Amino acid sequence: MPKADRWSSDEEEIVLLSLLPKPISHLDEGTYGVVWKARDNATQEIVAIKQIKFDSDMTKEGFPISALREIGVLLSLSHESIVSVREMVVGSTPDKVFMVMDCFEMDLQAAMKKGPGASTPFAQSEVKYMMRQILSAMAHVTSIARKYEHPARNMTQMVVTLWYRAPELLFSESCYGPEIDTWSIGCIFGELLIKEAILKGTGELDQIQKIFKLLGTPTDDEYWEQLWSKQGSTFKWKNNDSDLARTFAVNSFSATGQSYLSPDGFDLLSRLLSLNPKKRITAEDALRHSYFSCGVTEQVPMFYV
Amino acid sequence: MGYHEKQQLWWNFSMAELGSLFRKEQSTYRYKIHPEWHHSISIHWRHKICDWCYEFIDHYNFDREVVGVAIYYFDRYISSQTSCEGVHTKDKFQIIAVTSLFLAIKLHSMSENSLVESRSQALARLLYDHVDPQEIYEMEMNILVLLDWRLNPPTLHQFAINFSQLHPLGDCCSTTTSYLYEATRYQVELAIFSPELLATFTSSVIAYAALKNAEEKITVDNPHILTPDMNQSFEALMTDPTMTMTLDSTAVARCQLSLKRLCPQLPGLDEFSDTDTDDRDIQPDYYVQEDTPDPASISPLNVAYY
Repeated sequence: MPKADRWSSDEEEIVLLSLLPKPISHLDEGTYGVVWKARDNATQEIVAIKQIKFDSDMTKEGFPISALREIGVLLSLSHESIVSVREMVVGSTPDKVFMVMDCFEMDLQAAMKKGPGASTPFAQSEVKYMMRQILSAMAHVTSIARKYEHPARNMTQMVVTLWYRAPELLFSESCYGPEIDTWSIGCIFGELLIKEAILKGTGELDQIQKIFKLLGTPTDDEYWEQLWSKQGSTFKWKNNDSDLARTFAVNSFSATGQSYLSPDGFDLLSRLLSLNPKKRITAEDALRHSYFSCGVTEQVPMFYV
Repeated sequence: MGYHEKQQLWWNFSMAELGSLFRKEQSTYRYKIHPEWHHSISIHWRHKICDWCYEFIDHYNFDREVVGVAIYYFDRYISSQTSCEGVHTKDKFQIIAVTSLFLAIKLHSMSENSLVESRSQALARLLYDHVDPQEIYEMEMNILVLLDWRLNPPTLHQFAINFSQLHPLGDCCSTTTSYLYEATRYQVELAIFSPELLATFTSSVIAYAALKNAEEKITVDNPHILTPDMNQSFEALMTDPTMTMTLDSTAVARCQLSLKRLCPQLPGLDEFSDTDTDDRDIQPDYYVQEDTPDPASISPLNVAYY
């Protein structure tokens, strides 16, 4: 069992397991707990320590289920682009449980909004670097985690933050797989290019409308015809043509604040944002796309250096 | 999505998942049960605990896989406690068993929306119908720490469903496919009652041996269903280099024999209908007792009552 005095802050010892009332360095407060920044006295490395939140509602069912599942998934993954749980630490009382994780200065959203060079678009080489990281991490998750239940089972559609939720989930498709995540990566790709979320729906219906406005209504698409007919849907969606090419300019140094996008890059973006999940590119195939093998060389983003 | 497309999707999922299960079995979840562990708990007591877990899970209509997970936690905890005094009491076993089931339900009953409400009820019942809830909270933390927070073992059920899904009988007809899975599942559920079996063979070997026994039974009942080509193609698939490991055929043969001792007579193919998937149709003999009330009508309140 790790000892209480193993972690300290830069200024003074932080006795984590007896929890000082005043946080030394408070990084963030997530859904499941407060994150602290600390120094590992054994290795001198800076680490992030997340204290699992024990609300009174949660403790009725013992150790919080959400935290158990998060710990389980993170412990089963091992990838340079995925934050790793180094160890779990239990304090003097059962409600003091900590996840010791790698520490990062900021998340991607903070890097876009507040990092160095936040006022200008990312360079194409930087976008490419981040996209490779995200896709290779997703390829690893797909190969390792048992996130995707057997398709025979009916699964909930209430997964993924709304703005990044694949269209088939919005239409109650309960038989899904890793393609819902590659859709989310397509949304992130677009967001990296313009430094703003590309599909900011205010509700599920609005989200669907925004998706169809950007990518066109799926007409003459076997998948969508089958899904709608299975649901007995008689609702007619307004026919839109895809607006993707107008939204994301190719080979253009425009003043609109968008990162430079090569034709290869646009092709990858449209394959990630394929409305038909069966035609959506997989993370593994995306990594083999010419976007990564041709054109400018990848470069570590400025905020990361 | 058409039938064949769905079949292909299942096949792809099963191949990927089986590869992942093999990797887990050989790495993170590779462990040896303490050789002396079975002396620390009466086999009779462990049997009762398994029995109670199945009854509890059936009552709330959870997936029976949860019992396999709970017993995995239970065995690992007991196995590590052989030198500890105080664990050899009925009360202690009860707290470990209840907490193992409590933890397994929390982690493995999440995928289906309809079970969310049942889960709360089941957890409350486990907490308040046995001992002081505080004791369960404390035991939960002990188990989490002892298992090093590794709570997702590759289960017998996961292997059983994926082996069945990849079997060429899947293209044959739905009754035989369902039979293959149900007969395999039936045997692996029985295997959970046998600590020797779990200690001797890996989960993949047990599930595969159970599937081979089910195959044999299908062949005995109707020699024309399972062709030599089907057999060969399945064997070839299991030794495919992408499968990351091959199953030890000697171990599989030994395990088949052990399973046959545990379950001398599998239900016949002609007694099976895939339209009726009620679990109670394929339960071990000791569940079926004439003078016992319908298990669904009573709640299995306390493991100590057994």
